[in-house]
Amino acid sequence: MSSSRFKLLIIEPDTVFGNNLVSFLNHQNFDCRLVTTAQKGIEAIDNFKPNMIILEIQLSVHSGIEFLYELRSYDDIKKCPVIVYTMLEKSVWGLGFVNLKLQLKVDQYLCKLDNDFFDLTDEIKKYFNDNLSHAIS
Amino acid sequence: MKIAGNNDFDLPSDLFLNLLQNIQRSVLNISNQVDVIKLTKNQSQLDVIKNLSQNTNHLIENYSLMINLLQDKQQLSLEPVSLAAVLYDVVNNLKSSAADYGVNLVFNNEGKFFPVLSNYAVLEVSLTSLGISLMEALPALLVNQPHQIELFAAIHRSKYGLVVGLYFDEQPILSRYLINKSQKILRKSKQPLPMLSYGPASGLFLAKNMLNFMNLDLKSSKHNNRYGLGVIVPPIKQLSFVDEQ
Repeated sequence: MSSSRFKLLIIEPDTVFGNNLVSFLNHQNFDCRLVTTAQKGIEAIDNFKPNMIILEIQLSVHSGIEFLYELRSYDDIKKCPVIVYTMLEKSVWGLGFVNLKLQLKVDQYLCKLDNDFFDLTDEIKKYFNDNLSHAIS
Repeated sequence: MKIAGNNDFDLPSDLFLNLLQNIQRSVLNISNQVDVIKLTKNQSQLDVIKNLSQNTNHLIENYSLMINLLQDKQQLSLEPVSLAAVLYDVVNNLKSSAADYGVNLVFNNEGKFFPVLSNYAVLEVSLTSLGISLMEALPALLVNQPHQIELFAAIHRSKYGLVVGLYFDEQPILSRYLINKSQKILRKSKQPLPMLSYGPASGLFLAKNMLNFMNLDLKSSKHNNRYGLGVIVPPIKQLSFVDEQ
């Protein structure tokens, strides 16, 4: 699969982690943009028009959950696929995890402690292989 | 465990759990950095690994010192201390990793200040830990600043004594009340201070608890139109006769 045309918006508050992720994914022929807050994420969606969003839930001030609610409230961008790549294990959500999938339409949930950059890349490529028609642009 | 001071409060394993989360993040970053270096063959990024390790070691050192003081294995000796010297060492401890986070660390050493009676190691370790937390948090916080993110290390006089601190924002976002409230949820929350940091902010809580050993505390402070966190160190009248060179 050629991934050179796919644009990824990465919302990651830890700049060291985020820069590493961008370097890694750029090397995998993705076009990446890194932002550190939910607010900048919403702005970047309009400017950058990503094919997918990689989202950390634990953000400063406004959380990734607030971002997801905001994202899904806009008709023109609500179908953008989201992979949550976070420090929070699935177990902390309890029954709320179902809400992530059903209401907030999270396509995949990966814990950073269990999934390295290679695992994330595999999930991204798998999604695009299966769902080419979900690209925004 | 209890810490005697102005306010007796518990120092349970909450702080240790909080520190473990910080260490976990650092180790994860080191692991990812190795993957990126292997892929990109960019050897210059090896310094990032060293800086991450040093920061984690500083936090562990802070916690170890605190436990030793709690268990009376180490005596807290008070001595005449130059706050400018402490701040100079703190800035040296932080400057290599400041670049990794895109933070411009500025040491404002204007002014002559008399020595204070305090403990050099506790002040240095506390302010370094606080600086580490702030450097990690600021790039995700101060996104509306048009220029590079700046963290100022400075001392100034107040009517209560000398204030040594780290300053970063044009609006006050932290208060002693907020920090005290956040400390109570350390065990339950992976993000106890979300208005500042996306993570556990261990350095801030470690600094606060260390300073409590000397009956000092982190407070919201202002220096040259920048808000941040500072420590008021009361003067000792006898030492105020000694001019700082």
